[in-house]
Amino acid sequence: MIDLALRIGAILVVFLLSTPWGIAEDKPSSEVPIAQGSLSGLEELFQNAQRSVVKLYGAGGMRGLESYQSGVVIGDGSTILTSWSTVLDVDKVRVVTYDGRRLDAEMIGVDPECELALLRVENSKLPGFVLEAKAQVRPGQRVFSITNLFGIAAGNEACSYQKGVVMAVSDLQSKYTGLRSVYRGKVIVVDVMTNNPGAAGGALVDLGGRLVGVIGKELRDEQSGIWLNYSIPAEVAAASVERILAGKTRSAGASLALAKNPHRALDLGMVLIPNVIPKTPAYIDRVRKDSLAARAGIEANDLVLLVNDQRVDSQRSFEQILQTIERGDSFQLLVQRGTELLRVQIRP
Amino acid sequence: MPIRSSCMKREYLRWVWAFGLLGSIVFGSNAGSRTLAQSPLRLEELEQSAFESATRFVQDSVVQVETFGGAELVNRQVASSGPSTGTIVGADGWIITSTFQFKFPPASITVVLPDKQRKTAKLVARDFSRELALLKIEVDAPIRPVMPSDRSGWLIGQWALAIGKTFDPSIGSCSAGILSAQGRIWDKAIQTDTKISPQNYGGPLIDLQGKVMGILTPINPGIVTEGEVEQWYDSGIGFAIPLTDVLERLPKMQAGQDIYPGKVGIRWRGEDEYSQPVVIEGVTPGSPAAEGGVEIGDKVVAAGPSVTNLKPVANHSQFKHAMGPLDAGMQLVLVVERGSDRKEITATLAREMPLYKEPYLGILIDPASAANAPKVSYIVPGSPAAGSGLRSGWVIESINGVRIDEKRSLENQLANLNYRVAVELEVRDGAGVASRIKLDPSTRPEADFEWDYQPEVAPEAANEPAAEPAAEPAEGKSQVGTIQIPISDVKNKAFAIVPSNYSQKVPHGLLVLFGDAGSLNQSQWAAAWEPFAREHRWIIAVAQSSDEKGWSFEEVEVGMRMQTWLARTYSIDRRRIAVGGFDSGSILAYITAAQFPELFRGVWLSNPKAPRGLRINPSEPFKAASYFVNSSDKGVDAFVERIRKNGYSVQRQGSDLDSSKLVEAPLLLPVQRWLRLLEAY
Repeated sequence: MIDLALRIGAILVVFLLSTPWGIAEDKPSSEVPIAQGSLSGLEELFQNAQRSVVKLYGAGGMRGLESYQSGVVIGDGSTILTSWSTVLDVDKVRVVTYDGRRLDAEMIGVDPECELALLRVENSKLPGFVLEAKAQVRPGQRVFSITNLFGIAAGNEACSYQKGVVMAVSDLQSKYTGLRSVYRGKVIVVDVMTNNPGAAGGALVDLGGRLVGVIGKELRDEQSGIWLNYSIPAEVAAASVERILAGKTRSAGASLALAKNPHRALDLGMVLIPNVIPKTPAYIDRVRKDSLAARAGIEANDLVLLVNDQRVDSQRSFEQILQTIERGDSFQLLVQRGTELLRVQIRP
Repeated sequence: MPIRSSCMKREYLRWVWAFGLLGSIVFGSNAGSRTLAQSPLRLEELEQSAFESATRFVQDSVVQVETFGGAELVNRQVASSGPSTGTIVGADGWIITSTFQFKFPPASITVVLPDKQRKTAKLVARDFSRELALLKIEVDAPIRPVMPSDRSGWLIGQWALAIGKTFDPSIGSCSAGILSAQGRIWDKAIQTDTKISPQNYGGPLIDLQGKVMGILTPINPGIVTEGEVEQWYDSGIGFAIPLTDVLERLPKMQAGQDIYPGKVGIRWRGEDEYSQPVVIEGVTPGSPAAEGGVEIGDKVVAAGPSVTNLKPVANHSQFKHAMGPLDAGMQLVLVVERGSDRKEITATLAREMPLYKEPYLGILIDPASAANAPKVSYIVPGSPAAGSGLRSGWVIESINGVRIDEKRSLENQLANLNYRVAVELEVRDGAGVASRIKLDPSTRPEADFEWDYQPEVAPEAANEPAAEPAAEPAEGKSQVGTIQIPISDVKNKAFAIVPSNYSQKVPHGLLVLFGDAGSLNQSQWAAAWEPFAREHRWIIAVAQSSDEKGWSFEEVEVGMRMQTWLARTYSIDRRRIAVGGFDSGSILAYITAAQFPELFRGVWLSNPKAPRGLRINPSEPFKAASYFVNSSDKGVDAFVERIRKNGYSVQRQGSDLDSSKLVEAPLLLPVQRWLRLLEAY
């Protein structure tokens, strides 16, 4: 008798749970038919995309330098695009494919400016990403990184995925004065920690599974201590690949090189206020008569804010920027006079 | 996905649906024609277009803020580098941003508008309670202010986007996350897991409609000292001030008035924030609480800005949540229980408490006497007590008619008095005869070092046998002599001089010192301090800097670690704890005392370099240390004056102390006299 009552009770409970007025919250609602499908769609995307990502092994393993990184297969499957690093300082780079095959790759060439390298691999039977020269990304866009961060995957184990959005597309050079990167061009900044040891050279893909960027090396702003998570955009990478194949790469940092015969504030006729604190503002104390500065219209008490759109946050940075401009070249200053901002052209 | 209940999920999906679709129609996303069922990636695509369109919707109301020059080194890091972000809150040029870039006044502030026009900006006002700053620029045409998001519809777990302008003045940067919590930092902030860094401080946290939930700020729960650069960015935790709270304060800030946290001037009993009710233990003289009529023993049961907006208060934490959003100048209504009565008390919150100076009578109390019957052991010559008729050996029974007991101890009662008002003591002499004594307190004298006092009665302690009774088990004995203090994880070495007559039964004074740089001659230190330590029952602890050239800011914790270990290992008298430092160590001593003001009753700064940028918190009851500053550098005088102006007493000596000749140093005696009188009431 008691047994029967218990069973009825149990059936009742099950019944209640399955009705709309029971605790039915866990039951998928008819309003959300995509919950399951969405997952399988992403999985399909991942499975396809990761076939074009390889694990690379080479030199390193000492003094904090890893001996592994990631790479993306492009085109017909015979070339691998990756980050140029010490890992590649070997005769043959070991390539481990998504299905666990081990192949050897040879260096085709490097682009020091973009810190990218191109490798050749024979008979890979790997699908390659299409490297689109016109790929565009927008802030807010959904992206996934596919990398072998921390060397966590080996053999035929799948690479790791991370999900994030594009924060911004920006130049590395202009805003991050504390960044010590050889590459100074356009980057895709994302809002997740993608740039980890071993992740460089990995893929950044969009919701269509298209390659939109190649993950860059780890990079930290030395002034603020912020890690920057960035990829080199597909368009930049495409141009770089073309240069490598055509043998027309440039050496790095050419644009940043110090001028042979640079400008100096004093020679221009600007006497700055005494530089006593770590960030003394670039206030003009005096302007020498008939000097270049005087002719350009600079006055005493002007505050220099920009040189050719580069920010001057101190006297030190003012002198540093001037050192990159040849004495014969003209340049523009933005100065503050009272509450007014004035653009001034210095013409030697 | 961090959504827990499917009910919420449904709600949220409907949302994504609506705005995603809106986005795809308006901006022509190629996903528009497919249905949810047909494309498994549909949800992701809808989210993506919602993120993109929300970012675009708000980006014309977000600006880049740059400062030029004027930053100083804080903790060896250059504060404020690179541009930051601001949010337009007024069409005629009002921009709200975070205080992050303005810790030190910059030479210039500029704002770059979305159309790339650069404008000079004026810093109009700051909200020091929320780390916000209001800027004003002159505009030729109206600029577009943000639209507030409706707070009542917020759900924990809903999408939130952090927008910044540091990468590009025209195009907003976007990081996506969720609303993690509401009511954080004593009810001042909402919390998010979006990627926050100094670059988007001052920018908005928006919902998927592009409406603004809050302004991102570097606010965090643990700011102690000024210029502290401890930041919680890139950590899955970030905070924003709800925009409605910002807009509420906008007229005041537009009028150029800074906003400060509101202070009321009460102290309460107990340490456990979450279980103990708020029972008033002290009311700062002249504070809003005192003016409003709060009395010791009142129990606060509700608090809020008005009688119609009260939050129930069952514990300390709830009281802090009720106080958190209230600014100086705002009204505070307290509902208190007094005996069987219930009273409503109204006060106007203040920015600063009236300058507090600790009342001083000039008496020492026998440490062996009971807390409810403090026995005078010494009367300081020339003090208010001298000549009042009070004698050593007498017991104080009440102050102004309030009987002294455990809770209303002599210390507690005196701390709450105004030093300008006469007090009446009920006393009982050695023969048991009661009498009343009236005296005018003063503030702590600033020449303790001059007195060559002789105790009228030898302290009880001196009568104790020098060594522990032989009967006591040896393992129970504490180590005496020069002992090494174990401090793990740091390079610093530290030792303590424990007098040979140390007894666990007698609470000892404790002086914690940041010694001068380099290695220290321990035997010389012991020779200099052992006689004083023996006679007056003190332990002297000295730390050595890890770098021979001097102390660095990071080593500040060493002082507290020494203090903690010694207080655990030895019997320490709470009323006789002091911290001190030599040369660069003196700044660390100062900071240690500023961080733990209730712990240290004395602060000794020997040859301090005239420090800049140090914040001095005004003295408060139980946070009124006595300072001893010796230096031949006249530049230190201004610093000493600042300390005095904040209500502290300072003993100033015009000579430096050469610690390599510690034993014969003429300054040793004045320092020891000052230490000896630290415990005086």
